[in-house]
Amino acid sequence: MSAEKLRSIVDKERSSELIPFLKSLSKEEKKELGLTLKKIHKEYTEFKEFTSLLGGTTYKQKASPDQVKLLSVAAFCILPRKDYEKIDSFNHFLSYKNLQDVLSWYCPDWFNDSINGLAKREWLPWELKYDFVMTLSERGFLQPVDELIVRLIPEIIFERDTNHKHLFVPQNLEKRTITLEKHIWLIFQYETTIHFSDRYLQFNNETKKEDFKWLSTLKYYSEKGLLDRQQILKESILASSRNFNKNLSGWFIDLFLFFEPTDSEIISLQPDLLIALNSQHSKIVNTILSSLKKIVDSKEFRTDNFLEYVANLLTSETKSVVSSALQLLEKILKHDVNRSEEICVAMCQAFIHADESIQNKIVKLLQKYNTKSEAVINELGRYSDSLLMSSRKALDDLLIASPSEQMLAEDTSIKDISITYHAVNEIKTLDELIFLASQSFDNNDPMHIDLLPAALVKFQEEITGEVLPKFEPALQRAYQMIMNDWSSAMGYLDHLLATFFIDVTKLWIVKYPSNGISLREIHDTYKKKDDESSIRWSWYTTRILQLETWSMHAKDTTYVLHKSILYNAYLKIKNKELLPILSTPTHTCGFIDPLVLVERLAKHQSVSTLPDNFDFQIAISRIAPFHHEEAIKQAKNVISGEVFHLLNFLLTPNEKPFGPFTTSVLWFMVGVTKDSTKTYSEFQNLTYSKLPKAIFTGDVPWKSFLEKYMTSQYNYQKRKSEQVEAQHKILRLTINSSSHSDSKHEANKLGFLDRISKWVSLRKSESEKEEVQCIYEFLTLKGQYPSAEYNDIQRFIYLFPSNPNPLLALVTSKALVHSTLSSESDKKALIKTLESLVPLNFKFTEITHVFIATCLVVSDKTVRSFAAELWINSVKYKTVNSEQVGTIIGIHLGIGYAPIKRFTDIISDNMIQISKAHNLELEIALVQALVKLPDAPPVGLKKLLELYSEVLSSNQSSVDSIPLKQKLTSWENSSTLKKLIASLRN
Amino acid sequence: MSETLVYDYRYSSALNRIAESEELFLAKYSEVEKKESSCFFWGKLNDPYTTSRCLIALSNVVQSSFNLSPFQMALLKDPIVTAGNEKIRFEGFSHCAGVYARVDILPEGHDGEFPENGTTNVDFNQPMISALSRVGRTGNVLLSVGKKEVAISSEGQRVVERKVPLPTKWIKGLTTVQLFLANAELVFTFNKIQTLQLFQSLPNGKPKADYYLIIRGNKPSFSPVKSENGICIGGIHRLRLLEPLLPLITELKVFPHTTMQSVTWQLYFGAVRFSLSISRDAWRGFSGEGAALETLIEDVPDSWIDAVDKFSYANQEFNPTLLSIEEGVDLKKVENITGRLSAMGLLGYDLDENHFFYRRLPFKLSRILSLNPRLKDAEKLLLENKVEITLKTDNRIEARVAGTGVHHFIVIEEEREKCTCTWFSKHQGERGLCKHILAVKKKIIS
Repeated sequence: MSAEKLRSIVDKERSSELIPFLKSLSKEEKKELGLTLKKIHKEYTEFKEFTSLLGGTTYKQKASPDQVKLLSVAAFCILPRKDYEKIDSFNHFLSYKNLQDVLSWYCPDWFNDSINGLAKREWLPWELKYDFVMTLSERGFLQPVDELIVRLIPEIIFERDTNHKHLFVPQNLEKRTITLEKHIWLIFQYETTIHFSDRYLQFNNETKKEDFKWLSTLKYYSEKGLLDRQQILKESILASSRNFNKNLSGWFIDLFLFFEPTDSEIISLQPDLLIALNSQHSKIVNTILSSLKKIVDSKEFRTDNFLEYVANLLTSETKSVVSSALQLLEKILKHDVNRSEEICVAMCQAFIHADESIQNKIVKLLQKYNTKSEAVINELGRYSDSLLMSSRKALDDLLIASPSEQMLAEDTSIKDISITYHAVNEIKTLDELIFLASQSFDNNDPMHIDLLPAALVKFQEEITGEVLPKFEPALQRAYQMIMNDWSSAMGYLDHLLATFFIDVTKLWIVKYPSNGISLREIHDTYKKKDDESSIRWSWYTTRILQLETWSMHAKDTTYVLHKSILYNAYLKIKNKELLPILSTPTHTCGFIDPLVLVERLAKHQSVSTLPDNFDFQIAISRIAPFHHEEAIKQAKNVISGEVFHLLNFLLTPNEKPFGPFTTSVLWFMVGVTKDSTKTYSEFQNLTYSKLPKAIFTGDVPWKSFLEKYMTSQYNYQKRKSEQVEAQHKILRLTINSSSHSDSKHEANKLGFLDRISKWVSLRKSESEKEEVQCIYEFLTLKGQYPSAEYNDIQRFIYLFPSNPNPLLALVTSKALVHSTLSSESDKKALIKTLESLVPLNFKFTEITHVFIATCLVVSDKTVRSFAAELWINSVKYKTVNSEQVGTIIGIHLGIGYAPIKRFTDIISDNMIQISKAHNLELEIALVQALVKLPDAPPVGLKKLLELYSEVLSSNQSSVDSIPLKQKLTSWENSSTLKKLIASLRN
Repeated sequence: MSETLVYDYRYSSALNRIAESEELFLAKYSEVEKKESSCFFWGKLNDPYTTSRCLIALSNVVQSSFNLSPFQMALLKDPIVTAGNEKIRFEGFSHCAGVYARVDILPEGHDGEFPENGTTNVDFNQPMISALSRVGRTGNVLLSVGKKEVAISSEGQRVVERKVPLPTKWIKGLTTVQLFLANAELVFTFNKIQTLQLFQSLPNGKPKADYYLIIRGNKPSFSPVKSENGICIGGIHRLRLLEPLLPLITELKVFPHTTMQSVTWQLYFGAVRFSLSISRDAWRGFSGEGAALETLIEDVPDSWIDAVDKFSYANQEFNPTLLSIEEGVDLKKVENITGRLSAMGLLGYDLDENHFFYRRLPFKLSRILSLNPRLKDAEKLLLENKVEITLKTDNRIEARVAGTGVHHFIVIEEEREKCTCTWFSKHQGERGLCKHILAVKKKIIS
């Protein structure tokens, strides 16, 4: 009965009947109605899908706004707190027009707690304004807590007119005396949004822009005598250091400044100002230091207390804080000569900053006030590592060791220039293979793509029917990898490896049909899922591919190389052939121990079977730089014929090619692997010699320049898009796609069987022999915006660990077009590439230098740090030409491809003072970079010259380069550079 | 989350000015210690400036989160304090349970009395933290953990009551991190200048990539390039929490976990120490690492736990060998017991002194023990009879465990375990055993 009545009141929106009805209910009736109310509420407020006649779909609730309010009031009066709060989570009850009548009749104990609890919420109900809360409080329904009051204060001085424009009504603060006496002070205690409370408000025209600020309101009431000025000053300082967010803390310090404190006020506020120096925000610290500067000459300045904070100030990351602190110390020194030793010792802490101007300042002060006391000398000694050369020279008499003795010690690691390549764990048992298979589909290790097929070939005889169920998890993971959405760490090679494994398990099922049931079920499950998706979604393309026809969407032929390894393994398993794959790495970075290669080749020769040509080429490309002599010694005993000569050419440093070149591509590959830049006269008749050299060296034409281009821009007047000319500074590489015979290799997908038959010793006609292409010809990166390809870069590089340069050309051409990097995947590509290169020691060509030099000036610091590390290593291995690096950087900086600051930052953070050898190389690079800069001094040049000066001092060298001398002449008219250039000339 | 933890303080923590000195009163609450006990410590701080800076840094850790939403961040957890054996230790965790911080006030760092010893939650309210920043180097500060005079407040009156969802991750992290600390080794010691130089190379922003602490020349620095001798640090931006303390230190010691699963940074200020342990990555909490799981497979008799609980006092060195002799426990099981007690929240680890110390977390023991879902899952596998031992010899066990749609293959051989499941394949045992291996081990034991 009651339920029907309630439904009727809500349905007909009879607001006036609701309260009498609720009042009439007994306790039991209320309880009973509570259950029905929940159902009615759900029925009215649940959002449901509605389809219009035109076919559009919308979601709406049955209840009108008034009905929602009525239901909320009913819930408030009937339900216990927990249930009410669940139903009326948006507090519609508060917007009920007769709210106070309801509360006069029924105000449960929990109402106060519930409303106060709203203060913890991220958002407050619209109705909950300061005036509303205070009215409830005055009527005795509510005892608002400070947390609630303070959240409402920022809005007190704003109201809305009928046009929804805001009005500025500071006089609202005077409505109740408690507001200015007590509540306003809460803003200093709790974190609020007062700092941006007026930022997004639209005011009507009568309100002056400068009026609607809390700052002026507070000042107004302070001037009027209603707020204590001294207290505001004190509280604003304390609030600024109360661990509030950065913007709010900044607002409080703005408030302090807005009140324009006098010197005597600052003096009286000293203890609080000093405490605020602990703030994490430099704006606050800087403001306080500025205030302290005004009173530092006063006798009442608390020097002792200030000195307690000096350590934090002088080691601050913000230069202006350090400078201001030094200025204050200088002023103190002027007055208080007796404390010069103490202050000079403290000042030394700022030597931690490798900043010319800061260090110069300390040097001057030390020279002026230094007592040459033991304490200062000892303290200075602790900072000797971070002293710039100019400071070192100037403080020569105070330093225990002279500058020459303090010169950078030779980096001990420099002497050890051999790289250790660690052996990859060989798969020795079937168990290990089972666990390897399970973890191969995560791209956890770049070697898995080689180790898994090799182990499957090796243990194929042990994989009997009984073993098959142990591969269930691996098969499930392989399917999950190709069926699930693409993960951020997955590359196309992971997809390829999963496809390979799925196809291999199909071979097992054919071999052991009864034991393979569980594997078959997994196949069937995923096949069904794939088929269903194909039927259900028109855009869906089947995700289960076959190894033989597998390709990635951009048709990059680079993938053919890994596919050839996997297909070779697949055929070995299918044909029950146990001979090992040649190209499986034995060491990190993809290297193969020559001794192991000899062993593998011997196995092939012992049964007169010849390895796959691509497999052999990759094995040659992966040959490790060790065990060469031992391998040749061993090869003499177990290998004969052309293969031995080939190995001899590969492993003996000055050995010449020794014909006949039956499989010319292998001979040519050996030549390229030994030195991609070298030309062998013996190969001049081979078609590979006619290919552009850039295919093997990566040395393609490049330039960084200002490019004009057409772009689409919306014209608001014409109301249409139009083509306009724009310009950007870019790096462009000319990669001749015709040299990468893509089309030829599209057809090659079908040619694996053909290639298998092209064995080394088979004598074929010249034309047939040269159908086999060199693996370098396959390298492409065609996608306009590569992404997943970058997860494969490392594995590509490890196909060519001795000569990754052609791949570098591809990565540079795609990822380094803009120095700001056009996407996150560009950054990822660069980091992956650099990460792969760091452990390698290979011959640098021009493209290597372009890559490193460009990475040193890109916007991403991680990329720059990696590039710096690569430069450091390459100086160690003596593979880099720093002159070339400097020239390329100079060209980039000269045309404005990147700002000079990025280069100076990476030098000071990562490249300077590594070792003597590195400083010498850095000097060479800097000279070349400076020479390439324009005659008009570019922005950031001063810092670059300062670093150059520092390197010159470290190296005890002078400006010898004539082009640089000329360049310095052209810059010396600049007032900021004049002094520095003069010092360089001396 | 259904369960709620209620911090029910009878007073607010505050820094009060009393005559010429300040008194830092810390209100305490423990859900396992219902009686209103007298205070744990009352006395003078010998280095109030450093101590208060360290407590502010601890509160910054407790308030920080490196992978949670702002909503979760609002549900603050309070640090806990252990007082006894002449030491006062404050411990806290970030919300994400990936950063653990501890402030140790050593015997020389205070001059006071320990009327009782124990571990308790302490109210770390914002006004008190803000007030701490006004402590200068020259001031006198008295510290009081709990009320010395309990009569000030009338019985039953609550000044502070904060309800937060039961911080499962937090409590579990607090127990797990001790095992990480026990497996950490000192690798680097830096003086103040070296430390400042090192932190100058801290990258800006929140780099996702791992960084490595390396030494080049004489200078330590952070580099993104993997280095064999470098210490691997994931989520390196979390180290910024240490920055405010660096100008005050005398020394920094770096203790990486033996397999780089965490790194502990211990700052020294004389008689006060501040240590910060960060997990392997910003998105990984210590809670999910499963380091203690293996030690929980085998049940430890309640009598041993009672013995430890009854006869130990806060901050007392825990000597597992002595316990094994007194209680007649097999010495081989000592390690297991240590791990188990630590996982139950009864032990902390002191890196400098290289030993576990006793402290009972102020949470219900039943809660702490129920916090290992992987162990629960393993028990469920056993209950559903999904574990089949296929081979059992002296040095090799093979098993088949039913998974989702597949059967996993498990091999346990000479202390090495392997499983074909995703968790094991991905982490190779670095983040604790998977539920399948746990289930097999439990089955063998039973």
